[in-house]
Amino acid sequence: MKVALCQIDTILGKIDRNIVKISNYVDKAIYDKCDMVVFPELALSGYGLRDLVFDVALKSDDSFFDEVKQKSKDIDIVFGYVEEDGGYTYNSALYFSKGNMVYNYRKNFLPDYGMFEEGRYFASGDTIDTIETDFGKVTLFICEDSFHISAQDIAFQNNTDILIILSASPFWMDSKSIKPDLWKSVCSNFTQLSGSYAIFANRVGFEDGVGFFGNSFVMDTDGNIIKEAKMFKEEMLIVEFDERLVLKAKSKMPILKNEVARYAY
Amino acid sequence: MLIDKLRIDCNIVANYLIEFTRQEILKTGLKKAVLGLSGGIDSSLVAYIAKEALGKENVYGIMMPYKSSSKESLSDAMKVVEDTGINYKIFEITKPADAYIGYFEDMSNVRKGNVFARMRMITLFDHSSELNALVVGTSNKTELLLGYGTWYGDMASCLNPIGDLYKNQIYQLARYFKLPKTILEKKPSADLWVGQSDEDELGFSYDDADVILYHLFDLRYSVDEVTELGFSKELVSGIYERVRRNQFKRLPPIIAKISKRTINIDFRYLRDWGL
Repeated sequence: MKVALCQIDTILGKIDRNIVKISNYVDKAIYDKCDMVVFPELALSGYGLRDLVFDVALKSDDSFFDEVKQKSKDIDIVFGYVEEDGGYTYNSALYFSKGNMVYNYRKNFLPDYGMFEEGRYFASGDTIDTIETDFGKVTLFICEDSFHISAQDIAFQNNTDILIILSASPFWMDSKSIKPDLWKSVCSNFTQLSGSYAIFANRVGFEDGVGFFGNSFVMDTDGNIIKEAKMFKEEMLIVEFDERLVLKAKSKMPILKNEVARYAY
Repeated sequence: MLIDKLRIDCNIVANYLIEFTRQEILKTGLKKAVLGLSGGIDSSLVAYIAKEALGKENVYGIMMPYKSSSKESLSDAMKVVEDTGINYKIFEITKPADAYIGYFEDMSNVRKGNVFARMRMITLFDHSSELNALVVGTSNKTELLLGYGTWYGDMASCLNPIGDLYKNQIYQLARYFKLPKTILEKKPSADLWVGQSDEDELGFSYDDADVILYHLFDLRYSVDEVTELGFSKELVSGIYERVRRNQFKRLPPIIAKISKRTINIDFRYLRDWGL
């Protein structure tokens, strides 16, 4: 399959303008004959929303998405947005395919420590599903979900073929560590132990001095990065890989098979 | 060495700060920066960053000496201008500052220093309006934490690329950008009066301050735990107390809450709202 990772910057709170950018990148990805295009967490709205959160929230079936839905006849489209349901807001992601919205995922784990305020503004999702796509079984994570072993366990138990992580991950570093390495190690661990690919789409741009580092990548079943985007710069990274190779990886290292035997209920 | 914990990858940090400066300015619809060039290490470094971010033609370095300022400060600032090719202007603050100071007898050095810093702030913000430029700040993390600066004076700016870098890290980046040798080698001074030295005035070295601050606040060590690293308890608790006492300088003024939605209390938006 051929996937386009769009590590875009967004205008904080301006969904009318951000949807134009998303739509233009979708066109580009279609032009480049990609099968799937993935955008970061909250790509439609920006990240540090605070009180803007209600101004930018949409129902998952809002007609606002009609144009994107149409375009998904030619390409699978995944992006993050603020979902409104029953008066509450969710940090969610939509998956469009074949002209339909096929999946709406609500972020399960909302960080509320350090600089993060998600727990204050969003309600949390309570399920992690794995969906069937043309490219195998896909699980969506939004950023912090990836740091929870319990979420990884569900993705693993569901025999995920492709883990897609939408992220708005802020940059930090010190003398011994740098943020992108954390992501690479989390994904390296998961892909090798589950025999899956990981698609990490992280935004760029600054919001009040907080820089999102980009460096989006696709990782193979051996934990190797197939291709990665630059840090700090907006970019559409196109990566081609043979998603059928998950079968080789899973048979070579059948971790889940043995897990099932040990804990069969 | 404890100070090695503050080592940074200069290539990555430089790229990051260049992008920060470029993106945070361009998104406001402006494309120019103005900064006060003192000839010291902090503002010189910011000039190099701003030049890379916006192009030399979009950066304005303003030198604002007072009559007692050292000549080396001005000549060092000129070296930065020559090396970077940014625009520059020399505006001597002696007359306007003295016009104010002249109204008062026996003004202390500290008060005068504050007047100079605020006179420079007025000059920079006035030029930002004239040039359609944003004022880029030049305060580092060490002085911001210690409160070693003038509120609404040198601490005032629109955006600050170096405010999360300790003095030691400023030097690392300054060497990376190959700043003029005289700037890298001279003793840091606010140059508010003749012979002033930051480290003499503070009563401790910048490296000690950096190590202590880094452990207290980045790593959240307690005062006792930092003391165990080999510092006197008096020094560590003195620095902790300085940081606490100066918290007001790092925040906008507090507002008396009356309504159900009070600015910055429960009316909460980033500054980059809509940008």
